[in-house]
Amino acid sequence: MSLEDGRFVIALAGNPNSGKTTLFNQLTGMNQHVGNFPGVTVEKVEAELSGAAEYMPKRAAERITLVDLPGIYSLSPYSQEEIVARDYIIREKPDAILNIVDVMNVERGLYLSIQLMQLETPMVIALNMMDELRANHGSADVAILSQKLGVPVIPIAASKKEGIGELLETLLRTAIEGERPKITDFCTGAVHRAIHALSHLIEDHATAASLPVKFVSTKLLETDSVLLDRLEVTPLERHTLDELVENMEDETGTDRKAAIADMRYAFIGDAVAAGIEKPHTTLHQDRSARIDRLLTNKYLGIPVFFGVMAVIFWLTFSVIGSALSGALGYLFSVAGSAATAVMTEAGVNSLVRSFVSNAVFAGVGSVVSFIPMIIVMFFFMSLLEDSGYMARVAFIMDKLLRKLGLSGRSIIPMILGFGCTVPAIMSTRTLTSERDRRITILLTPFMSCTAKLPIYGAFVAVLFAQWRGLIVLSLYVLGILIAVIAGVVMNRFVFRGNPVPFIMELPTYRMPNLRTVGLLLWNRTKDFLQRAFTVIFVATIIIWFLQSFDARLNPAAQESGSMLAAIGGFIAPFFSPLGFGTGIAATAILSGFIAKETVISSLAVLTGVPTVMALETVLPTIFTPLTAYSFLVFCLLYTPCVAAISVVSREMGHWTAGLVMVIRQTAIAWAVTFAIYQIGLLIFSA
Amino acid sequence: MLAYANSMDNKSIDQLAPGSYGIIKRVEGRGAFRDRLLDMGLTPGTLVALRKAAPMGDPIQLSLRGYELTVRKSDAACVEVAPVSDLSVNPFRLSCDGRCVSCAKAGDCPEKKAEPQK
Repeated sequence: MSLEDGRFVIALAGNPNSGKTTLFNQLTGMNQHVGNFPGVTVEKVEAELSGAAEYMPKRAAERITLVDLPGIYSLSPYSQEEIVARDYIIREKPDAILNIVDVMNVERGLYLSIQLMQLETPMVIALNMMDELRANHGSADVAILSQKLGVPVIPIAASKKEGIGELLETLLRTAIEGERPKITDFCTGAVHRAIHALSHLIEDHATAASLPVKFVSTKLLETDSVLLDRLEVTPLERHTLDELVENMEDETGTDRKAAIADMRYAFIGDAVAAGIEKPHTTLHQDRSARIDRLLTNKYLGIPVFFGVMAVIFWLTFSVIGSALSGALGYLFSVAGSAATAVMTEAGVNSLVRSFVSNAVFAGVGSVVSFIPMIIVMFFFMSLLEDSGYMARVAFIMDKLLRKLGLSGRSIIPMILGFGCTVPAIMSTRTLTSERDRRITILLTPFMSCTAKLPIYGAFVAVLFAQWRGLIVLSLYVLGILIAVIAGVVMNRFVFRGNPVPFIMELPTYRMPNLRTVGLLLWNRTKDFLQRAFTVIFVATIIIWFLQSFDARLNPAAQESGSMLAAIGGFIAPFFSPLGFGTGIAATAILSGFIAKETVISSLAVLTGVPTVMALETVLPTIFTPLTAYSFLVFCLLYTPCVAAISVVSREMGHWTAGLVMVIRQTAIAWAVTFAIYQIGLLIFSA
Repeated sequence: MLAYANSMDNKSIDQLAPGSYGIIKRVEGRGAFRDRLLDMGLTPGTLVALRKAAPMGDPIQLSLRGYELTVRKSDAACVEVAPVSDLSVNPFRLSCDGRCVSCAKAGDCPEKKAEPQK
């Protein structure tokens, strides 16, 4: 197979924080296709090498697909990312593995490399961060390293685009010639003999299951039960296996896993001692330590974190995010009015006019209005992650969140949830553990978002004037409280799987790469538009339809005659035990499906007042202070808006997730409101 | 210079004083969690330092093999270390047997030459 007529698939593997994403982005461009690995919610990014056009003919570059495997430290069967990565290489049989190793963390990087080498796939090691090594007066002799490791080793500095040409050249040559790693035996003595014996034992099974023999033998020594199952060995063979390993353990005096780890590190140590001159200084690590003296300082660390979050929050939701959202919203309403004017001129039917301006423009406008917030949020999240600060956040917040079964990283989506649930849920992408991500997504809607503030504002102004601050505060606190309880319940009963042990690297601080940030923004925004757009748009149209027509499908003369109001009247009795069982309240709550701000405008329309301001006069006639508070509690806790629902479905991987969330949130809202209202009745009537 | 304590003084890693070093003697336990510790480089014979604890006291930050790791105290309790005292050379430059990895010799390292002999 030559470059001219073949298609190549290259798998990119390496530790987290090794510059893998930077390299991937250098080699590809805006053509990245983001999806999931089959059957799991682990993200898979692949693209053709369109960023490599300066190193090879374009036609050739287009035939090479690069698949970004999740960042992993080993090929154990314990985490989803590791299983996904090794299964991809074993099953999909890419033409080559591009293994990126951070030369400043070379031993740990090579620990993964020598496991990859056993997968019988052509492989090239890209030794990254050579610029940092040089700056610290270290050096690497790649010829010696290649010889010791049995695979080509190419020095690069991905962030500076150094060495890419040579890397690609070697990579392709290796792929075309199908050059497999020359060394697959890393152990000596008793361990080596044990692996050898194991290989003989399971060779047939491994070949039958299309599994690389050396890899499987070594993993069996580490008691990899996942692979053992795939081999389908007989009980007798199983027994022989166990005996083999136990004998080895007796001989070496340590347990099997430690024996193998020792062997690996010994082999690596030998190669590194020969091929790498360790740096005499540690400039970047020293700098990181200095920065951490502030950022993970015992007294200042947490305040600084909250300061950073406050700035991000403010910029996302107040300054940039809301300014741009406001501008877009304004543009759309202007366009909508213009369209209305044009249609009126042309004598277009009033219903169609209403459809175009209230459904189409409003629907599109509402989707688009999220985009500035999402972009700003991802921009900051990306900066935090790429610089290395995010790991510090996980470090300092861990103790607080572990009671919910979560890691420190989960604090950020929850804080963002106080601004808007949509970008908050999307920011859970930074969470590496799938379990953590799911729990966090389910808890975020309990954080009272800013769209609910107008609801609080209207009621507080009218019914609780002296207590306004306290009332609003109590709602926020209630939301957090319910979240904590829900979290504890979920941690104990629902997500009972073993949480992944918290061992995390604190990478050295590095300047974020602008290209990486840009591509991330592009991919995420594109993703949101593609997924959320249809859902939100369709939901807007449905609600418009329900608001504009009555039960006989005639245009409704006024809102109170519409189907939506009819539905509201129908479900009103469900809210009687909560204190607000009127058709008006129920319809307003229904309209909150689209956006929380709509609840207030809906109340205004249904009660016949000309403006939202005038609600002041009418609310006290419909609500008492207690029923008003119940209403607010319900609004706080029930289903989030359709945009959030669609994002939840997207992030959880299945559309039913959104539906389940709607039901669960509404049920919780009902239960809590019921409790509060009934207790309130008891207290106030006594 | 390095002074090794005898095994009677072995502690678990989380019992080290912040800023002090130890050589890992054993990693207890079984299963996924222990394998993860070994995979991340916490193997017997490795020189490790406890840098600091998080502001709330937990988790702790360890330095080993040239990088920083954080581990929860309860999880770190299964790693047994022999404390190492009088260590005045940057741990990044030491391999686990106390030799300078820059020159692979004990005693010829320019940094060590600059220090007063103990």
